[in-house]
Amino acid sequence: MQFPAVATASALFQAVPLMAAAAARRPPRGAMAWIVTWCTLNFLETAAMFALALRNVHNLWVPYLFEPLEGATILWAFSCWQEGEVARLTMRLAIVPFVGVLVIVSRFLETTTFFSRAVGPLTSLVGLYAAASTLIAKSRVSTGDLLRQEWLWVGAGFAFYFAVHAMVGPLSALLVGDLPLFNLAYNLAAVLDVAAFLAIAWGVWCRKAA
Amino acid sequence: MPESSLSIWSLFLAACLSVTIVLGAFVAALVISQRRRIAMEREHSQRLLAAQEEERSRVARELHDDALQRLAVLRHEMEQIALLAGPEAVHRIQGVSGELEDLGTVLRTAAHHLHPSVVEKAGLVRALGALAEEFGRTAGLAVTLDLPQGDVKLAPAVGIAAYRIAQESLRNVVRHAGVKEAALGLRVADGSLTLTVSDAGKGFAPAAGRAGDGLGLIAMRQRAVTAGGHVSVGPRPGGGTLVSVTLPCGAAA
Repeated sequence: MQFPAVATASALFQAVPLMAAAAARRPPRGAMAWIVTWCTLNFLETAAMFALALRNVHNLWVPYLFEPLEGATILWAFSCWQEGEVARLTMRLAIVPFVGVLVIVSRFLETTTFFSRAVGPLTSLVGLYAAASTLIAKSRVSTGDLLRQEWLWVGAGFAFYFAVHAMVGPLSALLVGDLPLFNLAYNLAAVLDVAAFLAIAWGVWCRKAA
Repeated sequence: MPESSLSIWSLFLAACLSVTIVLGAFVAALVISQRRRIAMEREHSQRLLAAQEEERSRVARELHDDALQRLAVLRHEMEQIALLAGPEAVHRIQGVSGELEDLGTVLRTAAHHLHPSVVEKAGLVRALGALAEEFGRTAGLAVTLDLPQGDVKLAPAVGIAAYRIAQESLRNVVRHAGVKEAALGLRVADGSLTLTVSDAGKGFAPAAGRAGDGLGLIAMRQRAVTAGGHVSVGPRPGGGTLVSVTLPCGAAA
């Protein structure tokens, strides 16, 4: 099976934040440790999907396995960056109902043989909330050079990534009968993913300079 | 349902669910955070009151063990000097000795007010009896007592809190009620004590009183809340003011 070059590039770029973490030669702590965990899970998910696709095996069930883990990880990661107790608790308390709702929706509303219509957007919208609220909250109290702040790059990268992915699942389902448009949408999402992972990787790398 | 409609409805459902999850978690976080803050404030008040009592106790001990002993020695010395002095000097020495005795009484009373050791030594019931006697003696307030027979088992901090609240309430009767009679009651049931102080005086408007609460009332409320209870100050049926405090007895020491 042949993959579009941009899709392959997007998948490979998911490893860039992991390489940045390794190159920083300092074990990530706090929020960054969870960000790296999310990147690892995401890379494993993509690798599993590629591996199955190469064998011409159906792979649309893989995200249903990883989404709850990734969603919980990202909520916990961004909770570590919150300044206020209420904001931190909100993200941590949201984990249990979020995972519960994902399981219920996956079981009763989704079919694992088709593109995710609700689970993907739900995870992305919750992740978008976590990333955007972190950007807003941290920028209000930050006094240093914003461009050197790890949370800015990581938050912006994730906000971008989740904003794209909130739409990509339902859009895929809509365009499944129109292959050229379908491919265009996926290629565009892949390009935007590359930008998002570069921003995340720069955020991970920023720690070295800090 | 066509695929396009299904996708749009799924996206709408995902948006609704994500908003519900975040809002639900936010409300829960607000409640938890507020409870934590209240618990922290209560703990802070407890520590503050404990430190205040400890400091008062230390000053009271200093007064009792040092200043009062020195006064006793001074009086003894004056009496010895009087034996050697002439009649005019004896008269003046007796005057000074009398002043020293008065000073001793003042210091002893101050030490007692600083730290009511009688609560720890004799128990709350007897301490309240002594308090009523003291108000009768010093302020001319006739306090009718309705206390349990024998002592009640209380955590030391609760006993002190109840005693201080009774003390402040009787002081308020003397200052504001314009009467010379008050009633002091204590009931213990189901692991909690209820202390009441009432008078038939000018009365108390709760709303106005709350807006302009003096330090005494604020301290009473703080002591009650810190001990895990509550205090109400309001009009007494039939006229006057009724202070009612309910505190958990706690583990007796």
